[in-house]
Amino acid sequence: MSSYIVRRLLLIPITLFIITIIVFIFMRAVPGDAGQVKCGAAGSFDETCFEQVRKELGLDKSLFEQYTLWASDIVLRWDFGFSPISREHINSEIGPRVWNTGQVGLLSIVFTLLIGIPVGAISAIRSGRPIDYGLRFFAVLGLSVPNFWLATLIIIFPAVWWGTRVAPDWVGWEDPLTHLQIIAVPAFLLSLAGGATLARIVRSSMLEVLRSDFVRTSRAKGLREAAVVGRHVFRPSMIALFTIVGLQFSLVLGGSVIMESIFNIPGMGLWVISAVAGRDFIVIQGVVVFFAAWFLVITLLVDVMYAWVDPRIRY
Amino acid sequence: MAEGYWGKYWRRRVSRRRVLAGGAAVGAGAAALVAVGCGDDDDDDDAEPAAATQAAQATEAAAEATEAAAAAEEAEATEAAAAAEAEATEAPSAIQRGGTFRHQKSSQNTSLDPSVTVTDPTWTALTYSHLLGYSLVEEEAWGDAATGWEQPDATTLVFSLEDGLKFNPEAAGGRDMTSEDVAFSYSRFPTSLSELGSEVNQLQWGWMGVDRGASFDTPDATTLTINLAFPWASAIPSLGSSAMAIVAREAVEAGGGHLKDTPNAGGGAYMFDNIDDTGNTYKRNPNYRGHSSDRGRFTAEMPYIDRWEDAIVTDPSAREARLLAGDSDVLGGIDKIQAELFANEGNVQVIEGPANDHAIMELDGFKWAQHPLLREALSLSIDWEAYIDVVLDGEGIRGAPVGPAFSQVLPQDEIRELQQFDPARAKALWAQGGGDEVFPDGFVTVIATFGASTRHIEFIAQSIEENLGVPTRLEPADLANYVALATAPAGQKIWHYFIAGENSLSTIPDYNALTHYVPNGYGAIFGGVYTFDHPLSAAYPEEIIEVTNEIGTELQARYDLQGATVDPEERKQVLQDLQRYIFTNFCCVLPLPVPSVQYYAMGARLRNVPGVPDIANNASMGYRRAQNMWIEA
Repeated sequence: MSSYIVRRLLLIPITLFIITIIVFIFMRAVPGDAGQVKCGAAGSFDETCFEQVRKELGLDKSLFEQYTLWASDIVLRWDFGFSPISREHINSEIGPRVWNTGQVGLLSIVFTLLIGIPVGAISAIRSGRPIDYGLRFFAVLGLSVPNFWLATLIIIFPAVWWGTRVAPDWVGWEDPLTHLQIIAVPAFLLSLAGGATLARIVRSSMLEVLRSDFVRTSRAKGLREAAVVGRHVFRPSMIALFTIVGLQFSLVLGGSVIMESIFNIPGMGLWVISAVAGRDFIVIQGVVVFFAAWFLVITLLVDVMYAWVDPRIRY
Repeated sequence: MAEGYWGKYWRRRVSRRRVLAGGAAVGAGAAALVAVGCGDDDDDDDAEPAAATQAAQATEAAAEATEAAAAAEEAEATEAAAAAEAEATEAPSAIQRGGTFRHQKSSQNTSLDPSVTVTDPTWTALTYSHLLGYSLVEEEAWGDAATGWEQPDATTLVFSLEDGLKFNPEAAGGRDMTSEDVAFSYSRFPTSLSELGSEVNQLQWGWMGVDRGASFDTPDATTLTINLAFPWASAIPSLGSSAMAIVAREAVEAGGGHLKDTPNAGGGAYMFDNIDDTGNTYKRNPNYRGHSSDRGRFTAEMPYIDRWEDAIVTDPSAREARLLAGDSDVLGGIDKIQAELFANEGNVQVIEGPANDHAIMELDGFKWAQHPLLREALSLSIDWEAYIDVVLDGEGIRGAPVGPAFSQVLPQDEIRELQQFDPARAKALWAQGGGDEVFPDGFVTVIATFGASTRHIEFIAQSIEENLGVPTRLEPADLANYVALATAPAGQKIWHYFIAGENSLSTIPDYNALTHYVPNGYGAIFGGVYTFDHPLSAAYPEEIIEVTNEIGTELQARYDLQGATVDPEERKQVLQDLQRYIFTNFCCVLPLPVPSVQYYAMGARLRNVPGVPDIANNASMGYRRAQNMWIEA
């Protein structure tokens, strides 16, 4: 196990290195840069400002030099660079924004568990009965309906019908109740697909366990059904939960781009959208590398947890 | 080492079994909760129909009651609105001072310099004084920094300035603002174009001829004389543009020759309080003294509103929800369907009036100038009346190079005669002009990914393909490269035609769509129609300019003639002849049909909102500069 973790840890920087190169090259391939945005993008006649911004960003250097400077700053000084658009250091921005995105993400995972486990369990226990079909229908619905579409409906309809908004403007924890109201809606929407997936996996896992020999033996011993399910079926079925929760951590980051834009949450997602519009390469690169690192670490943790909770798994 | 209450838990080894048991317990608990909620689902079969019937009856009754209440409410609301309006109109004492105007927009602006930016330029207008403001609705100019003006001859304008004008405390230490500051501010434009990449159209300032012999006299601090290089019939309305802001020389110098990053460089009624990626806030300028008298929408006393906010809200649905919920005072231009939907919303007022939009189909002059038959074929292939039905929901009129609000515009019947839809003739001309050889790969156009609607572009592309047999590839562009694609240097444009529209600067007939046809307007930078006389012609090889020089010179000459024709009747004739010339030569812009009515969604609590088309116009007294607008608490 230890050697597996070491191997995986060693793979992270290599993977990140490849990601940085891909991100760097792709960003340079997109038409327009921060110099054009900042200086008005009016043809080729804004040389002074254009050159100044490009120099400030190091865009006047060769691609190799630009990459080396950027990557070495991150590796040696943990410095993600300076945004010419917001005039802020990425490092000082990244903390609060990760926290804002993280709050929504954590809450969405809580919702995922609260939706997925009970729905999956009931569906398995009452397999083949109307309630099973009903819950499975809603699980498929949760997977099929895009959350950004639901988000738009949730934004618009209360305003049209009752003249109010379900998610007010961002206030932070100075006003805890309003803050929870703000993050609860996007978190719930983000959790729907994960909750539906989890419900389906919990259901199939439990059905598999319910048909096991040891469950039949438990019943034969005369144990009550509640004890059989609660003690012998539930626990081994929960292994899948770790995979889903781990994946949900990663999906939250992707989903945050749209949800934060719709609900105006000043997190990583909204940041990256603004950065793309402003061709703020430094921010985009920093955020993508951060997302990638996050994903790699979470995947490793999930794999380790997986082996830990299931003795049958050996690396 | 002392450990707290939680320490023992941190140190305790957690077993795999315990974790699973915990997970199972949480899951079971949650399942029980859901089961309780779902339980007892097979005992109420008999009760259900009765309940359903009762519910249906209750719903019907409720619906009736709601309708009655709604009708009563509507009647009351209408009466109340009428009463409030009458009160506001008749009794100035009803004006309420204070409050915050809550604006919202999709993205932060790229420059703070009023001589550079055209991306929502009205946002900086709050922080600057201007010589005057102009209302297209009232067809009248009102003095802002100027108390009055006279025009002794065709090329001389003399302005008297208010006494005691000051910059805000952060601009030049809050010193007095003088006529020299006005002269300095207007003199910046040529440099802003050549060195700062200004997006401000040259027609907004080029008429003064600062770079062609015009001069400014400042005999004293409150007198300014502008000696134009040539007569300009629209001089006074042109000075109303928000780009004509009065800036402090010291602020420009401190900014390295520009104000792109300098927030407070003027002496307007407000100054920036904060600017960041969530938006901007504005507070009152403590040095601002108001005006010596009420002049149109300028007030003698302080403007009524205390503060302004610009919230950056990227999602359009979120912006709409904010307005509907009463959390914002502006949504912006809306279409007819939205206007109908918003009509009964308590937090919204829909401002409606005759539109003065223009929309154009810009052809890349470099590609089209030498192919008159193909230009005509292209125009004949577009079903203009169907465009009005499909794109404008039937609420539109035929567009012309002069905006529909101006008396100089050609009559609709004549436009229909000049701009026809005739697919058979279009195909014949296309074949005669060798269209398939000239454009073997079809056309490319740009489609904005940030626009509210792309119906108009898709309609045109489809119409051309159906009636001319030439496909169009739609090249998507976001805000960052949209302008860059539009203004790419001559010979490097990827598009064959570019569909654009704006109603941002439509107070003068010389501007509006007309500016896109002439080399010294958008015609060169956008349309690629350069002439050898054009200030930027030196940037291009002779063989490129040769392609468009002939027709560009003719267009520019006709345009200059109308600008120099001060007599209104004579000017109307010149302008109408110019429009006919453009329609019959199809170069290099095809005017598109435009809406006949414009709708604007604003917060219901606002009073004295400027009418359409002034409302959001950067050249006129839109809501950003209407000091007599107020908020009802």
